[in-house]
Amino acid sequence: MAIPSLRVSIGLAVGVVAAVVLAVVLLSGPPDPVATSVRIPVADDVTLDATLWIPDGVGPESPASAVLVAHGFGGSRDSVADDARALAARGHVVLAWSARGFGGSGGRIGLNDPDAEIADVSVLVDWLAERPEVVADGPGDPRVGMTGASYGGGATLLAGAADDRIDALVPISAWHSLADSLSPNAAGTTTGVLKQQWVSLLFATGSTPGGLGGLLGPAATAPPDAAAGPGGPLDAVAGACGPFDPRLCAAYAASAEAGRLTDEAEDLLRRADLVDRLADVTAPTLVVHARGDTLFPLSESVANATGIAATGTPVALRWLPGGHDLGSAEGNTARVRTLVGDWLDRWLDDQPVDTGPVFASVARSPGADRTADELVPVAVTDTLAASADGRLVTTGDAQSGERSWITPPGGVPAALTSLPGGGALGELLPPTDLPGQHVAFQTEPLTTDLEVLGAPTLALDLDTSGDEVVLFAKLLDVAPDGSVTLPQQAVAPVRLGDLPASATIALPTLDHTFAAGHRVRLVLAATDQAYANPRATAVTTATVGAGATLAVPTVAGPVPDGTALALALAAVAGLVVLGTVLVLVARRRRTTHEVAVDPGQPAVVVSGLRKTYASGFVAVDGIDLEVGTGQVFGLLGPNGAGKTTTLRMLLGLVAPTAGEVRLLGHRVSFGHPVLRHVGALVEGPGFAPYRSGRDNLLDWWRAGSRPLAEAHLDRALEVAALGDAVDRPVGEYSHGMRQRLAIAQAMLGDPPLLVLDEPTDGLDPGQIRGMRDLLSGLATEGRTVLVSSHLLAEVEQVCTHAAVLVSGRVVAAGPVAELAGATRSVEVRAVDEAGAEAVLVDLLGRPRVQRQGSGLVADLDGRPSEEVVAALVAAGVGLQSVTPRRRLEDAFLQLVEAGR
Amino acid sequence: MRTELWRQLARRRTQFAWLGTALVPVIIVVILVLNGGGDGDGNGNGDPTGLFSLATASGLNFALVAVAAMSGFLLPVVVALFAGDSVSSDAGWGSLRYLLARPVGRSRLLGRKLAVAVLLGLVAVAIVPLVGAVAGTIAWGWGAVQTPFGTLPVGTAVPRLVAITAYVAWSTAWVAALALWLSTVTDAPVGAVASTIVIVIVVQILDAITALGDIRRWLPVHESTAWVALLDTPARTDELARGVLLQVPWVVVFLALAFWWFRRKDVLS
Repeated sequence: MAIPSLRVSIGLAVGVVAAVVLAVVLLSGPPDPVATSVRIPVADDVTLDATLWIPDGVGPESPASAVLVAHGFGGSRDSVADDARALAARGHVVLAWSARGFGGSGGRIGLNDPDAEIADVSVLVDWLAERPEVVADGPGDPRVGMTGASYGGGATLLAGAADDRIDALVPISAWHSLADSLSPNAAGTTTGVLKQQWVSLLFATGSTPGGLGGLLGPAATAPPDAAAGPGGPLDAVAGACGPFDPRLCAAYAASAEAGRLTDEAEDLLRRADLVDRLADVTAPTLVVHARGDTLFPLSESVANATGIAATGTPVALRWLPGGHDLGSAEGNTARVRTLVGDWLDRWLDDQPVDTGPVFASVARSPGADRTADELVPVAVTDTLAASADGRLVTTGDAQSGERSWITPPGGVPAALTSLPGGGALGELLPPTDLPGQHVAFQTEPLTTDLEVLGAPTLALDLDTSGDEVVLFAKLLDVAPDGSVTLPQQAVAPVRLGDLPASATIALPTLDHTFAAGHRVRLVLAATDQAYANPRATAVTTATVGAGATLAVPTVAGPVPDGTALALALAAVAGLVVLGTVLVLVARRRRTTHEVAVDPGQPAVVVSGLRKTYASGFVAVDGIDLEVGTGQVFGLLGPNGAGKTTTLRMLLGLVAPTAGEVRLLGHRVSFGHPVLRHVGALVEGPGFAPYRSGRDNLLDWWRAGSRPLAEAHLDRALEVAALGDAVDRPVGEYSHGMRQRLAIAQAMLGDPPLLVLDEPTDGLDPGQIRGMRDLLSGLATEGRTVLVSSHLLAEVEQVCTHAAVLVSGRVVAAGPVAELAGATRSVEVRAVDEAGAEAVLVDLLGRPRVQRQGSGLVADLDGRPSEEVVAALVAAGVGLQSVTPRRRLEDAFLQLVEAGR
Repeated sequence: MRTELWRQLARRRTQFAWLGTALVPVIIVVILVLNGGGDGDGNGNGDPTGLFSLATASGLNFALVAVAAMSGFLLPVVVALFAGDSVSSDAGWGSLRYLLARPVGRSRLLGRKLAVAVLLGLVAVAIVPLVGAVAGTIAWGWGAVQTPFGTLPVGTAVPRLVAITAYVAWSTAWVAALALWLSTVTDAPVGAVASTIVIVIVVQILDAITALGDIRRWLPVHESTAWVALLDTPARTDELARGVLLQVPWVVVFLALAFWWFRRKDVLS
């Protein structure tokens, strides 16, 4: 699907390039390690089937460290081939073998019997010590690590305890106690509750190859015949023992029939316990476990890690998403290979690999991992109590009472909580508890996130109408919409005799956050489909109240989640508040700065005004001007003389480099309030083209936050004389129309001072005349007008005063009459130019007559022009024209010439 | 303030920018429906969050995808347009000098321009999930949101979507501040807007260069996808907090530059 985003395109491009590079690297990379099939005799009657992987470049000359890779239950050397190849690709010699009773190996399954399977590992270490490709730590002691998952994980820890020649261990999904895992009891040491579904599944897959094989578990598992019945495991007794040790086979059959682990079975399983062996593990160990492991629960990994760490052996603990068959959770294959590879590189080859923190619980979504530098990073414990009214409350609020539930006849129907061997499927199951067969205690919706890390414990008194109590305790997460999830599919089965009794139940070890708004629900149920449920009908009663406490271990983080966001938002809010305060202060200051116009002061006083632009160009070079109230003042000058820059400084648009401007008695700065009393037109009109003329004027007026009544809009629109066009967008206006609108804008509010830059630009002659009348009228009203123009005739006709600006300096200033000189002159053209000149010289005197271009200029020296015309006509010089000279223009041209 | 708002609302630029913003989700919906909503590109390189393959799960899902799709580039462009055009368009028309000589205080004028640009930008950002939700619901119905991490019921998803939209909006704050500054520097609106967009692209490219190491962590776009954490259950907020704070220095610096520059600038337009 095409998302029109450049980022995506860039991402795609980068991805394509990366893929090409990767392909090239892979294609030109080292060849695959060489796999050799070997057979290794381990006992008189047992020979193991094994594969030896030797990486490219490794040989007797350049030996490498070795890794033993053990397979899972039902697998073989082939089911771990991918994992072995990956380790060999990292430069290790890898030996993968089929354990007794699996694959092509002989012997019978002894469930990691220390005298059989585990002793075999030592033989394999001996065998590796003979290999010249393997680095030796000493005679008969190769540099070797070991890893394996599930059955192979148990083997890894057992072998690590039994043989101290193994230098690094990575047990994955391993048990701590096989007996307690298969028959757990969360409250005491009596025989637990048989994990019926898992046990059946294991027995079936042990009998049929291709089961829980790989390092990361199976790709697929045939659905087990879950319930123990005539069609299932009992058939195994009748001769389908398969490769199992016959004693195990018999013990299994007896246990399945009894619905609990028999003493014989427990003794056999205890042979593979790690409980008392961990002190013997001296190799650095990385314990990897899935949070949702329902076969060997998460607590097994904690027991293993802390047990090994107790003797000072380096240990790290990693929790990953998913169930017992780790590989079925997305992303775990890569995660596990990296974890295993890094750990072995670090501890076998002493490579400077960062193997990460002591504890890490890897989240399903990236970036949310929980890490710590201690194995069980729990600091705080919340204590709640189960109340008789079904609430889970603080101990002070709990009501005392009793709650009862029924164990149904035959133990069916049973609660459904998990799907052994079903991998991620299990997580999709909503847990179901049956009415009457359970009691529940629930908190109010949580006000903050509750991050549980560790095993909560429940203490309460129990009694029953039967012989013993079997119950299943669990914590559920209830979402605001009522949907219920069972974190990690974890259930704590309990079996208690000697009733009534006070029980302390260790609930499943969790890494789960109950989000704010969710509820925590504690459930005690009579049955669970995954277990061998009690068959006898009974009523179980729990005494609840302040004494029935649930202690919940929670995470001690440096900053609780959410606080950082709250702080960030608070910081941003603080900035916004600060900004608002500054704005309010500024507004307050502005309103107090409202100025009054002082009519006694000259309208404009400019003194020593200079402007040097950043480029070094001196636009205005120290000018002084004074415009008295009621004057119409002309500012004259050729293009580039500095007129517009001066006006911009007047209006607070450009900052003077030196000097100052006073308008109506106030020194002008950027946006000075006195500017409200100044109407301006600078360098042409400026309007939003899509707004109508009227809207533009209104927008501009409103921007000054003044009442509309003060604007005298109608009078201004009269000046603009736009007719109906005033409501058309300005973009459609002609230049002249815009000019008139701009003048109207300057007139809004009847300002006492008008600053108009080239006001007649674009106007037709009639409008120019109107403009003249307007300006004169304003002056008679006592307003002051400052006009800049290069049309000298205009200025001469309308202005009372003027200043001439040349190259940024005032070269002349004063009343127009003075500037133009006291007398008038005329330009004379005649056919007989010499004759005319003679007549004029005769009449006015030589110095007052000059030839200029094609004519004569005569200074009349106060005489009326008709006298001169009469003299010329009388002389008969063939007079063509006598025109009055523009006096200001003359003066202007002279001044400009002189000023340059 | 109200005057400035009406001036901007009356502009074709504003109306077309909003219309364009609203049309994109609709166009995507139409394309997806015509394609049968079938085999998207899944978790390809163009879909780092894995969201796009879930676009057709529900109307809310699509709203989320629309926000995700447009947060990277299109929304910053729209925000750059509103903010970059704010001062420079008046400069270009020549009306800026009249406003300043009205007089309107320079900080006050810039503050108004900023406030209105922010408001217009917020509307543009809000349009995306709203139109996305409506168009998506018409196409695929109303319902819970499927995320790569699981399912969010409607009651949870709606506030999350609001939070995500708010975060996406805040993530463009630096763009607005930068564009406002550039808008005070140049008298050509196109110059301010185009420069901002170019800078946004350059910063995004820099953020994609892993060789830059820790420097990238301080780029204003580095946490721009941190809102993904809001899809998780429970929502995670640590990166989000960093993303919120990360904007602050950039916004402060660019706004300070804008105000400092505009307060002392010679207005020659």
